[in-house]
Amino acid sequence: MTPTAADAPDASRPEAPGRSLWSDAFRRLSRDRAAVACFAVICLYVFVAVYAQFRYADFHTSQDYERRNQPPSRAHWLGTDVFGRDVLAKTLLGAKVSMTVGFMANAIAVPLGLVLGSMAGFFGRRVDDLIVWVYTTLASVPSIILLIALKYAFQGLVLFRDTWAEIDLSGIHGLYIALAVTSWIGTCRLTRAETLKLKSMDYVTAARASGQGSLRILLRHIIPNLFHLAIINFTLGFVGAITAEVILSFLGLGVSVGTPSWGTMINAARMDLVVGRWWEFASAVGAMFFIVLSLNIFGDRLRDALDPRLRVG
Amino acid sequence: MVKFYVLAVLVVFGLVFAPVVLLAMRERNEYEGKVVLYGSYPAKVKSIDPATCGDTISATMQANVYEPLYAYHYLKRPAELIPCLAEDMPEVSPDGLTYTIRILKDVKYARNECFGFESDGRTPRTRTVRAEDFVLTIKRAADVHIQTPMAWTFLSGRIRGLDEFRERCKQYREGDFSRYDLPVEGVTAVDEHTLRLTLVQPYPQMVHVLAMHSYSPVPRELIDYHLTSEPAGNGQRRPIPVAQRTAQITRPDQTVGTGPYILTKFDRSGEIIFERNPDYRLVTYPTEGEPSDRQKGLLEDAGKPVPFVDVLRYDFVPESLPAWLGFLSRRYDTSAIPPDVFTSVISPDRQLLDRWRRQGIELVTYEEPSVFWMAFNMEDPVLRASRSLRHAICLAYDVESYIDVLWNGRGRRPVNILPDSFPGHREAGPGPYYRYDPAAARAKLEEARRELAAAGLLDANGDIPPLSLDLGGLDEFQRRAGDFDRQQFEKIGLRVKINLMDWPTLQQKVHNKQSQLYGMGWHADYPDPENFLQLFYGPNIEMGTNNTNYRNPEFDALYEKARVMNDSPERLDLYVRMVRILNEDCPVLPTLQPELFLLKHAWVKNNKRHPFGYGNSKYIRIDADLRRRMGGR
Amino acid sequence: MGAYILRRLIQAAFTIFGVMLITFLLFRLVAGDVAAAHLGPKVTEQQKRDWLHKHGYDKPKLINKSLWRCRSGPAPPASGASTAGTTGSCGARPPWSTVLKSTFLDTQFADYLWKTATFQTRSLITNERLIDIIRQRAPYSLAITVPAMALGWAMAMVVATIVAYYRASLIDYVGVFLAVLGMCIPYLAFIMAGQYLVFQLRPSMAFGLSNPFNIFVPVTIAVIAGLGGQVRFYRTVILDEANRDYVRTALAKGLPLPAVMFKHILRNCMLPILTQLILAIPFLILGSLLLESFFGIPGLGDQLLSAITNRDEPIVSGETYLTALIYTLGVLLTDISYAIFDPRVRLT
Repeated sequence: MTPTAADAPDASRPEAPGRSLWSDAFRRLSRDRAAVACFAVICLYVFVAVYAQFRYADFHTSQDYERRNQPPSRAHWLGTDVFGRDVLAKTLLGAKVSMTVGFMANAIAVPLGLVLGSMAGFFGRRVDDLIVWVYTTLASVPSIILLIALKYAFQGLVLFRDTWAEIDLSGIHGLYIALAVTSWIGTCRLTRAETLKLKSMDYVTAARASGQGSLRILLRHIIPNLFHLAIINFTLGFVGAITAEVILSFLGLGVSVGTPSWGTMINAARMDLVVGRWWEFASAVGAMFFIVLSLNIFGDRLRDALDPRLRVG
Repeated sequence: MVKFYVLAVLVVFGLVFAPVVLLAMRERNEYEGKVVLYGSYPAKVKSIDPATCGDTISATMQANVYEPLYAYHYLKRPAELIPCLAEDMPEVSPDGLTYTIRILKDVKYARNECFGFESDGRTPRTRTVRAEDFVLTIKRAADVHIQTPMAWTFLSGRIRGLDEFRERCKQYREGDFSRYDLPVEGVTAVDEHTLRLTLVQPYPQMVHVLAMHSYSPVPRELIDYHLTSEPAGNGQRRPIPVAQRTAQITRPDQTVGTGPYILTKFDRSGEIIFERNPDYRLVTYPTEGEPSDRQKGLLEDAGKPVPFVDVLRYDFVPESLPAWLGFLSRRYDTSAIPPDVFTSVISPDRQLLDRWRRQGIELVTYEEPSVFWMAFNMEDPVLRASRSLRHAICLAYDVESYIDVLWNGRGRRPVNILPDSFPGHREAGPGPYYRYDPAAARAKLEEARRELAAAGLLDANGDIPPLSLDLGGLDEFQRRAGDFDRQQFEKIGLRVKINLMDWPTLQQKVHNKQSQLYGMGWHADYPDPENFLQLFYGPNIEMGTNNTNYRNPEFDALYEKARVMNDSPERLDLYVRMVRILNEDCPVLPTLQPELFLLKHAWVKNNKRHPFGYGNSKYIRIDADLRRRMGGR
Repeated sequence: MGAYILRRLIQAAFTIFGVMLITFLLFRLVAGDVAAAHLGPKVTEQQKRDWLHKHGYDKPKLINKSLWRCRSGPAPPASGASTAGTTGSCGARPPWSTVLKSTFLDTQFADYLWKTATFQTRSLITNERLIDIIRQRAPYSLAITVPAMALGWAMAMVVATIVAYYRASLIDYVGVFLAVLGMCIPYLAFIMAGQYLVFQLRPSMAFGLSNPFNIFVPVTIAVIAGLGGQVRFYRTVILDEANRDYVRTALAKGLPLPAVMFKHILRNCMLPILTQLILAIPFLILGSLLLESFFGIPGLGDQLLSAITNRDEPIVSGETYLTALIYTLGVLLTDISYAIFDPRVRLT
């Protein structure tokens, strides 16, 4: 939207108190019903992810071979699975995997992309060429191939074995490391473009003229102005991580055995549909659908709210 | 402007329909007037060379083309050996060391360039099989330069002079085939049609071994022609330098066998096509079988010449659901039943449901001479130190539920190491720990704790350390099996980590003795209990077949006595004693003796699966008219 | 202009080199015991070493320092089998040119670069040439992805145009809502539900290519699954264009909206839309792994998946490299044609 006459400060209106980007965004978001609803859903999922651990702590021994593959009923609202366990419990427990994967993968990818992108944009020339080369190269490999190859390589691989920092890459840890490797590129590109724009702004030029060191400028002026991009990318990247987990679990490369996840539920349901057993498939897809929808809408509204061009007043 | 939009629509249309046109042009039916069998196979064919054959898929495919000295009668059960390329059963010397085998006199190979061309210059020639061809195939099995895990396993240390031959092969380069001229004392062609084998010690299972397709005859001309030169275009050939030659058969045109079919197309993980061998000798459908065969219609074609089907076409379909859908849509003639659809195909009393029967589908069930088990690595410190721990695991594992939940009840609980159709199974009786008794398991667990404490193997909290179970396969079935296993362990409070990995990785781990508990099994090669017992013979640890690393001197002594004895009550008694030792020591926990449930369409006739024999596609008959009428291909 | 093209070409060359390096590192450094994976566990150490030597896996991976010892003093006796193939007694001190050549050229990476660039890659398992595999299987992959792309583009354009035309009306809201819904349903769910439906209606079409028209089942599923995202993207592009001043001017001058839409807006939207399509072309060849595997289409995607599972490293590296190559060239061409044809693009 182009600035209209109403935006110009004029004498008839007292100066509105200066608002930072953040409080302005917060104000706008809190007035946006769709965004609030979606945020509530996201919080609900996080809550469920934690709560389910306690409520269904006995899930791993809840098998009942007499009641396998039952359709939804009063006792089991979403039916039972192949071992007679409650599908509702499984779906709620699966939230933990998706939330964890989404969070961890992006917690690695977004800061990485942020740092590298800002460095590339700010320092330019060799540093920029190097970083651009790295991510262009990675981007030209289809990400699903990269993911599959990484997970295959991670089979049975354990880093820092027998120490406190032991990381078993064949399960969920390998999953989010692999996802992080493939998804930092988007953030990097955006922050690099934004940094290039910021670099030519007056206050940065002024800071340089006053002799401040590059690192300081980077840390004090550039990066704080990139946080909004980071948050948006985090939110939208969450979706990518959840979807990727489903596909990888489907290929047998996801979480380790015994961990309930939506991806493994969908995988397990491959043949169930053919014989009319829809409940496990529907629960997992439904659970995924609502969080992905909420994240998408919330991410969109967030982007709009944080877009400086759309500021009003 | 309008032009732009019209153009866009046309381009879209063209792009959308072009593939259909192209595809329609590809799928031409090239087999007018011929009877074709359409099948699918679930794993890639690793070898078309008899010497390198090591898995069931390769064996099934190879058996259409190659034939060994002996074979199994198609219909008779229990499995009975009959001569195939041999004239009769071998003449064995009284000391059991010399086998004299006479070979049928006019068995021709399939026509092939390596024998030269007829006078018209284009039709390849053929020749009859000679005893020296069997000598060559045995030498190839022993050849160090060829990857022959299975073919060599059965001959190693058995034939006089063969191990020395293998050593001497190391001094030759792979491409130097003059090593096949080296004489081997124990394998000689007495005359053109007589083969003599001299063994190092008696080996009562020798004839069973000679019924394996790994020992099908190989003509020397094949090596000299196909492995030393390659096509250079325009029908010319150029020689391959010695350094670049391979000693293995890898291309369809190099497969020269005496079997009923010729391999005409071989896309290793795609389409495989066999066509009738016009020079196949006269072989007829058996005239007798089991008492129930006549009523099943399996003797209708008695006495008729085989093969009936002209062309065998196999597609590679690794996933069970597409294979199943392919069967239902009449694209394939037979199919297994994927576990998830089982209950909608088979009724609880194990009959085919009516809705399928009405479509002309028929069910056949077979017992497999194989046993699956959870194996304990006997060299693992924890498992070795505590026999009670192994007992506890065996008692805690609910095998009946395992079979019910994961296999739809398609199998039986094995109560000892032998399948129940084998002699010695009943006599040895059920193992005392191969039953489900959670209370007894917990009691055993207490004993285990004491044993491990005494050995200093408990963890920091005084608990039994967590165990690790490796399973081969990344698919949904293995995940479920792993989940089920975990539930069994956790029931008695044992912590276990389940690791899924693909088969090559698992085999490597097991081979390197890095696996603690793992899922394994054994499919019998021949109907002699020795085939299972050799898996626990100490010296076989180095050979590789004893992957549980089980070593028991008492067991070994009994084994060494039994393995040179012919079938007799004394030998059976030794077998029984060995099985009972295993029942006590529990190096494995047997979990399943599978039963196969196969579906076939009504137009497939004479289908009877043999537990050990391959190469029975020649007996199958397809009623092509019936198939067309019922909506098939 | 010339300088710009030259710079982009050099960048592209570096990227291609980078891709080769990545595919090499990924698939070889982490491949594990390649010999055991291919030969089975029952082979002897010697057989494994011979196999490794035959395929060149026993050379050092990136840098071969074996001749450096010969330069720095009396050569130590040849060590064990770990660097077989390149060790040996030194003889006379080799000149620097030989040492440098051997350091970089007598390595696995050098072999890999050469073989890939000259299309000599062969499968470890079947010894088929990569080109033959591609030639055989690519048509099937393209048979799914090309119609899907064409049809998807056409349908998304139509829907997006309608929705943008009736902006802010009920049609717009419903359309956007459905598009977002479509975006949020996992791809797998589309495939599985789609296959189930087809199986109920006409089982023979649910799998395989017994009838060439069966190809439309995966095509339709691909189109429907992607429709949501595409409609949203195209709508955004169209609306961005529609917000421009010249549109407002045209409307103010009295031109009817349909004419403005078709004559001006859509044509100017084509550039970003087609760019996106062109950049997606390289990935068309690989097909959709999931669709091919579910519907039994013998395409490249499915073959690539099985190559990965079977540790057929040359094939995996080769196909990944080719895709990356085509993608890089595609980006290069798009960038250069932008520079040539679009006067607004500044050459930085």
